[in-house]
Amino acid sequence: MLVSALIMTSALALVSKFEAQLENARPLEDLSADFLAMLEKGGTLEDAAVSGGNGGLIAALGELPPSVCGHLQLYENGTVVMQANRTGCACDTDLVVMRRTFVAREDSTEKEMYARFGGCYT
Amino acid sequence: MKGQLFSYDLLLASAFVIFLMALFLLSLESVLGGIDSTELRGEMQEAVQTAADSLVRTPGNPSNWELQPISENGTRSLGLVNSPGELDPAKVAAFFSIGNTSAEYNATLPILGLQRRIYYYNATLESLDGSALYSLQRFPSGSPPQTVSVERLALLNGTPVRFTMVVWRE
Repeated sequence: MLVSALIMTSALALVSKFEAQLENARPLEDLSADFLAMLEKGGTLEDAAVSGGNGGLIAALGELPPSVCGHLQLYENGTVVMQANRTGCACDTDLVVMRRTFVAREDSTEKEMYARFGGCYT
Repeated sequence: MKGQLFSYDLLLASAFVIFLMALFLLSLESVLGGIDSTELRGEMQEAVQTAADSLVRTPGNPSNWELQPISENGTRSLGLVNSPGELDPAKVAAFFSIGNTSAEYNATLPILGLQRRIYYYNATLESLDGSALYSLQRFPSGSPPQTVSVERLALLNGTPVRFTMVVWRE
Protein backbone atom coordinates (compact mmCIF):
# COMPACT_ATOMS: atom_id res chain seq x y z
CA MET A 1 0.00 0.00 0.00
CA LEU A 2 2.83 2.32 0.90
CA VAL A 3 4.62 1.70 -2.37
CA SER A 4 1.48 2.16 -4.50
CA ALA A 5 0.61 5.38 -2.65
CA LEU A 6 4.10 6.69 -3.30
CA ILE A 7 3.92 5.76 -6.97
CA MET A 8 0.52 7.41 -7.42
CA THR A 9 1.60 10.57 -5.64
CA SER A 10 4.75 10.81 -7.70
CA ALA A 11 2.81 10.22 -10.90
CA LEU A 12 0.30 12.93 -10.05
CA ALA A 13 3.04 15.37 -9.10
CA LEU A 14 4.70 14.67 -12.43
CA VAL A 15 1.48 15.03 -14.43
CA SER A 16 0.62 18.30 -12.69
CA LYS A 17 3.81 19.84 -14.05
CA PHE A 18 2.74 19.33 -17.63
CA GLU A 19 0.61 21.85 -19.47
CA ALA A 20 -1.18 21.23 -22.72
CA GLN A 21 1.36 22.22 -25.31
CA LEU A 22 -0.45 20.92 -28.36
CA GLU A 23 -0.32 23.40 -31.18
CA ASN A 24 -3.77 24.59 -32.16
CA ALA A 25 -3.72 24.89 -35.94
CA ARG A 26 -7.09 26.56 -36.34
CA PRO A 27 -6.02 30.16 -35.60
CA LEU A 28 -3.20 29.74 -38.12
CA GLU A 29 -5.56 28.20 -40.67
CA ASP A 30 -7.93 31.17 -40.33
CA LEU A 31 -5.07 33.64 -40.56
CA SER A 32 -3.62 31.87 -43.61
CA ALA A 33 -6.98 31.93 -45.40
CA ASP A 34 -7.33 35.65 -44.57
CA PHE A 35 -3.78 36.28 -45.75
CA LEU A 36 -4.31 34.66 -49.14
CA ALA A 37 -7.69 36.37 -49.59
CA MET A 38 -6.09 39.71 -48.75
CA LEU A 39 -3.27 39.15 -51.24
CA GLU A 40 -5.67 38.06 -53.95
CA LYS A 41 -8.26 40.80 -53.47
CA GLY A 42 -5.61 43.45 -52.96
CA GLY A 43 -3.94 42.48 -56.26
CA THR A 44 -0.60 41.48 -54.71
CA LEU A 45 -0.68 37.97 -56.16
CA GLU A 46 -1.55 39.23 -59.62
CA ASP A 47 1.07 41.98 -59.48
CA ALA A 48 3.74 39.45 -58.52
CA ALA A 49 2.70 37.05 -61.29
CA VAL A 50 2.66 39.77 -63.93
CA SER A 51 5.84 41.58 -62.86
CA GLY A 52 7.80 38.44 -62.14
CA GLY A 53 9.21 39.95 -58.94
CA ASN A 54 8.59 38.53 -55.49
CA GLY A 55 9.28 41.74 -53.55
CA GLY A 56 5.58 42.38 -52.89
CA LEU A 57 5.10 38.86 -51.58
CA ILE A 58 8.11 39.11 -49.26
CA ALA A 59 6.84 42.46 -47.96
CA ALA A 60 3.40 40.94 -47.37
CA LEU A 61 4.89 37.97 -45.52
CA GLY A 62 6.72 40.44 -43.33
CA GLU A 63 3.37 41.86 -42.19
CA LEU A 64 2.29 38.57 -40.64
CA PRO A 65 2.28 38.46 -36.82
CA PRO A 66 5.75 37.86 -35.34
CA SER A 67 4.64 34.46 -34.02
CA VAL A 68 3.94 33.22 -37.55
CA CYS A 69 6.44 32.05 -40.11
CA GLY A 70 5.48 31.22 -43.65
CA HIS A 71 6.33 30.99 -47.31
CA LEU A 72 4.44 31.49 -50.54
CA GLN A 73 4.66 29.75 -53.85
CA LEU A 74 2.89 30.74 -57.04
CA TYR A 75 1.95 27.91 -59.38
CA GLU A 76 1.14 27.98 -63.06
CA ASN A 77 0.11 24.74 -64.75
CA GLY A 78 1.18 22.84 -61.66
CA THR A 79 4.71 24.25 -61.70
CA VAL A 80 6.20 26.64 -59.20
CA VAL A 81 6.96 29.91 -60.98
CA MET A 82 7.74 32.03 -57.95
CA GLN A 83 8.65 31.57 -54.33
CA ALA A 84 8.90 33.93 -51.39
CA ASN A 85 9.89 33.23 -47.79
CA ARG A 86 9.41 35.31 -44.71
CA THR A 87 12.76 36.83 -43.86
CA GLY A 88 14.40 35.64 -40.67
CA CYS A 89 12.58 32.38 -40.07
CA ALA A 90 11.86 29.02 -41.62
CA CYS A 91 9.33 26.27 -40.96
CA ASP A 92 10.77 22.79 -40.46
CA THR A 93 7.32 21.43 -41.17
CA ASP A 94 4.30 23.37 -42.34
CA LEU A 95 1.58 23.27 -39.71
CA VAL A 96 -0.96 24.54 -42.22
CA VAL A 97 -1.08 24.67 -46.00
CA MET A 98 -3.61 26.85 -47.84
CA ARG A 99 -4.18 27.38 -51.52
CA ARG A 100 -6.05 30.07 -53.40
CA THR A 101 -6.58 30.38 -57.10
CA PHE A 102 -6.36 33.70 -58.87
CA VAL A 103 -6.26 35.07 -62.37
CA ALA A 104 -3.28 37.09 -63.61
CA ARG A 105 -4.16 39.39 -66.50
CA GLU A 106 -1.44 40.78 -68.71
CA ASP A 107 -2.33 42.66 -71.90
CA SER A 108 -5.02 40.49 -73.40
CA THR A 109 -3.98 37.20 -71.88
CA GLU A 110 -5.28 35.63 -68.70
CA LYS A 111 -3.40 33.03 -66.71
CA GLU A 112 -5.12 30.90 -64.15
CA MET A 113 -2.71 30.39 -61.28
CA TYR A 114 -2.78 29.46 -57.65
CA ALA A 115 -0.89 30.53 -54.59
CA ARG A 116 0.18 28.09 -51.91
CA PHE A 117 0.91 29.33 -48.42
CA GLY A 118 2.68 27.09 -45.91
CA GLY A 119 2.97 28.35 -42.38
CA CYS A 120 3.93 27.45 -38.84
CA TYR A 121 4.40 29.09 -35.48
CA THR A 122 7.87 30.34 -34.70
CA MET B 1 -2.63 -6.86 23.58
CA LYS B 2 -3.90 -3.35 24.44
CA GLY B 3 -0.37 -2.11 24.70
CA GLN B 4 0.44 -3.46 21.25
CA LEU B 5 -2.62 -1.92 19.54
CA PHE B 6 -1.77 1.62 20.58
CA SER B 7 1.90 1.27 20.09
CA TYR B 8 4.19 4.05 19.01
CA ASP B 9 4.82 2.19 15.72
CA LEU B 10 1.15 2.12 14.86
CA LEU B 11 0.78 5.85 15.52
CA LEU B 12 3.80 6.61 13.39
CA ALA B 13 2.54 4.42 10.56
CA SER B 14 -0.92 6.03 10.72
CA ALA B 15 0.56 9.52 10.61
CA PHE B 16 2.66 8.56 7.62
CA VAL B 17 -0.32 7.10 5.77
CA ILE B 18 -2.37 10.24 6.51
CA PHE B 19 0.49 12.37 5.26
CA LEU B 20 0.67 10.36 2.04
CA MET B 21 -3.07 10.61 1.54
CA ALA B 22 -2.95 14.39 2.06
CA LEU B 23 -0.10 14.62 -0.46
CA PHE B 24 -2.11 12.52 -2.90
CA LEU B 25 -5.21 14.72 -2.52
CA LEU B 26 -3.16 17.89 -2.96
CA SER B 27 -1.58 16.54 -6.13
CA LEU B 28 -4.98 15.47 -7.39
CA GLU B 29 -6.35 18.96 -6.80
CA SER B 30 -3.45 20.48 -8.70
CA VAL B 31 -3.98 18.14 -11.65
CA LEU B 32 -7.72 18.80 -11.73
CA GLY B 33 -7.08 22.54 -11.52
CA GLY B 34 -4.74 22.26 -14.51
CA ILE B 35 -7.34 20.34 -16.50
CA ASP B 36 -10.02 22.95 -15.68
CA SER B 37 -7.71 25.75 -16.73
CA THR B 38 -6.86 24.05 -20.03
CA GLU B 39 -10.52 23.34 -20.71
CA LEU B 40 -11.49 26.95 -20.02
CA ARG B 41 -8.74 28.20 -22.29
CA GLY B 42 -9.93 25.88 -25.05
CA GLU B 43 -13.49 27.10 -24.68
CA MET B 44 -12.38 30.73 -24.78
CA GLN B 45 -10.23 30.04 -27.84
CA GLU B 46 -13.18 28.44 -29.60
CA ALA B 47 -15.45 31.33 -28.62
CA VAL B 48 -13.12 34.07 -29.84
CA GLN B 49 -12.40 32.25 -33.12
CA THR B 50 -16.10 31.77 -33.81
CA ALA B 51 -16.86 35.41 -32.99
CA ALA B 52 -13.99 36.71 -35.14
CA ASP B 53 -14.99 34.36 -37.97
CA SER B 54 -18.51 35.74 -37.93
CA LEU B 55 -17.20 39.30 -38.01
CA VAL B 56 -14.59 39.05 -40.76
CA ARG B 57 -16.21 36.45 -42.99
CA THR B 58 -19.94 37.16 -42.98
CA PRO B 59 -22.14 40.14 -43.73
CA GLY B 60 -24.32 39.52 -40.68
CA ASN B 61 -28.01 38.86 -40.56
CA PRO B 62 -29.91 40.89 -41.57
CA SER B 63 -27.28 41.98 -44.05
CA ASN B 64 -28.07 45.63 -43.33
CA TRP B 65 -27.94 45.25 -39.53
CA GLU B 66 -25.84 48.40 -39.28
CA LEU B 67 -28.87 50.56 -40.06
CA GLN B 68 -30.53 49.69 -36.74
CA PRO B 69 -29.23 49.64 -33.16
CA ILE B 70 -27.87 46.19 -32.30
CA SER B 71 -30.36 44.17 -30.28
CA GLU B 72 -30.77 40.52 -29.38
CA ASN B 73 -34.17 40.40 -31.04
CA GLY B 74 -33.41 42.39 -34.18
CA THR B 75 -29.83 41.32 -34.99
CA ARG B 76 -29.46 37.62 -35.63
CA SER B 77 -25.74 37.70 -36.40
CA LEU B 78 -23.01 40.28 -36.76
CA GLY B 79 -20.62 40.52 -39.66
CA LEU B 80 -18.43 43.29 -41.00
CA VAL B 81 -17.96 42.26 -44.62
CA ASN B 82 -19.95 42.31 -47.80
CA SER B 83 -17.66 39.89 -49.58
CA PRO B 84 -15.33 37.61 -47.60
CA GLY B 85 -12.13 39.38 -46.65
CA GLU B 86 -13.32 42.86 -47.65
CA LEU B 87 -14.66 44.90 -44.76
CA ASP B 88 -17.65 47.14 -45.30
CA PRO B 89 -16.75 50.63 -43.98
CA ALA B 90 -20.33 51.33 -42.85
CA LYS B 91 -20.53 48.08 -40.87
CA VAL B 92 -17.11 48.64 -39.36
CA ALA B 93 -18.09 52.15 -38.26
CA ALA B 94 -21.38 50.87 -36.80
CA PHE B 95 -19.74 48.02 -34.90
CA PHE B 96 -16.97 50.11 -33.41
CA SER B 97 -19.34 52.93 -32.44
CA ILE B 98 -21.16 50.85 -29.82
CA GLY B 99 -20.14 51.83 -26.31
CA ASN B 100 -18.14 49.38 -24.26
CA THR B 101 -20.70 49.33 -21.45
CA SER B 102 -23.81 50.00 -23.45
CA ALA B 103 -26.89 47.86 -23.93
CA GLU B 104 -25.66 47.37 -27.50
CA TYR B 105 -22.36 45.92 -26.24
CA ASN B 106 -24.22 43.53 -23.96
CA ALA B 107 -26.49 42.57 -26.85
CA THR B 108 -23.45 41.63 -28.95
CA LEU B 109 -22.35 39.00 -26.41
CA PRO B 110 -25.03 36.38 -27.19
CA ILE B 111 -25.05 37.35 -30.88
CA LEU B 112 -21.32 36.65 -31.12
CA GLY B 113 -21.67 33.46 -29.06
CA LEU B 114 -19.79 34.85 -26.07
CA GLN B 115 -22.49 34.28 -23.50
CA ARG B 116 -21.87 30.67 -22.54
CA ARG B 117 -19.77 31.66 -19.57
CA ILE B 118 -20.23 35.40 -20.07
CA TYR B 119 -17.02 36.36 -21.79
CA TYR B 120 -16.24 39.99 -22.46
CA TYR B 121 -14.21 41.26 -25.34
CA ASN B 122 -12.47 44.20 -26.86
CA ALA B 123 -11.61 44.64 -30.49
CA THR B 124 -9.29 46.81 -32.53
CA LEU B 125 -8.80 47.42 -36.20
CA GLU B 126 -5.43 48.75 -37.22
CA SER B 127 -3.41 49.16 -40.35
CA LEU B 128 -0.50 46.80 -40.77
CA ASP B 129 1.96 49.48 -39.66
CA GLY B 130 0.23 49.42 -36.28
CA SER B 131 -1.74 52.67 -36.42
CA ALA B 132 -5.18 52.20 -34.88
CA LEU B 133 -8.17 52.86 -37.10
CA TYR B 134 -11.00 51.77 -34.84
CA SER B 135 -11.18 50.34 -31.37
CA LEU B 136 -13.83 49.03 -29.05
CA GLN B 137 -12.03 49.32 -25.76
CA ARG B 138 -13.21 47.52 -22.69
CA PHE B 139 -10.71 46.34 -20.15
CA PRO B 140 -11.00 43.50 -17.67
CA SER B 141 -11.94 44.57 -14.17
CA GLY B 142 -9.12 43.29 -12.01
CA SER B 143 -6.81 40.74 -13.53
CA PRO B 144 -8.61 37.87 -15.23
CA PRO B 145 -6.79 34.55 -14.94
CA GLN B 146 -6.79 34.05 -18.69
CA THR B 147 -7.27 36.14 -21.77
CA VAL B 148 -7.34 34.76 -25.29
CA SER B 149 -6.86 36.78 -28.44
CA VAL B 150 -7.20 36.20 -32.14
CA GLU B 151 -5.81 38.14 -35.06
CA ARG B 152 -7.38 38.28 -38.51
CA LEU B 153 -6.43 40.02 -41.71
CA ALA B 154 -8.76 41.75 -44.15
CA LEU B 155 -9.02 44.66 -46.53
CA LEU B 156 -10.68 47.97 -45.69
CA ASN B 157 -11.13 50.28 -48.66
CA GLY B 158 -8.49 48.24 -50.50
CA THR B 159 -5.94 48.57 -47.70
CA PRO B 160 -4.77 45.59 -45.61
CA VAL B 161 -5.84 45.84 -41.99
CA ARG B 162 -5.45 43.71 -38.88
CA PHE B 163 -8.47 42.88 -36.75
CA THR B 164 -7.68 41.82 -33.19
CA MET B 165 -10.17 40.53 -30.67
CA VAL B 166 -9.40 39.73 -27.04
CA VAL B 167 -11.74 37.70 -24.85
CA TRP B 168 -11.71 37.15 -21.11
CA ARG B 169 -14.03 36.04 -18.34
CA GLU B 170 -14.81 38.28 -15.37
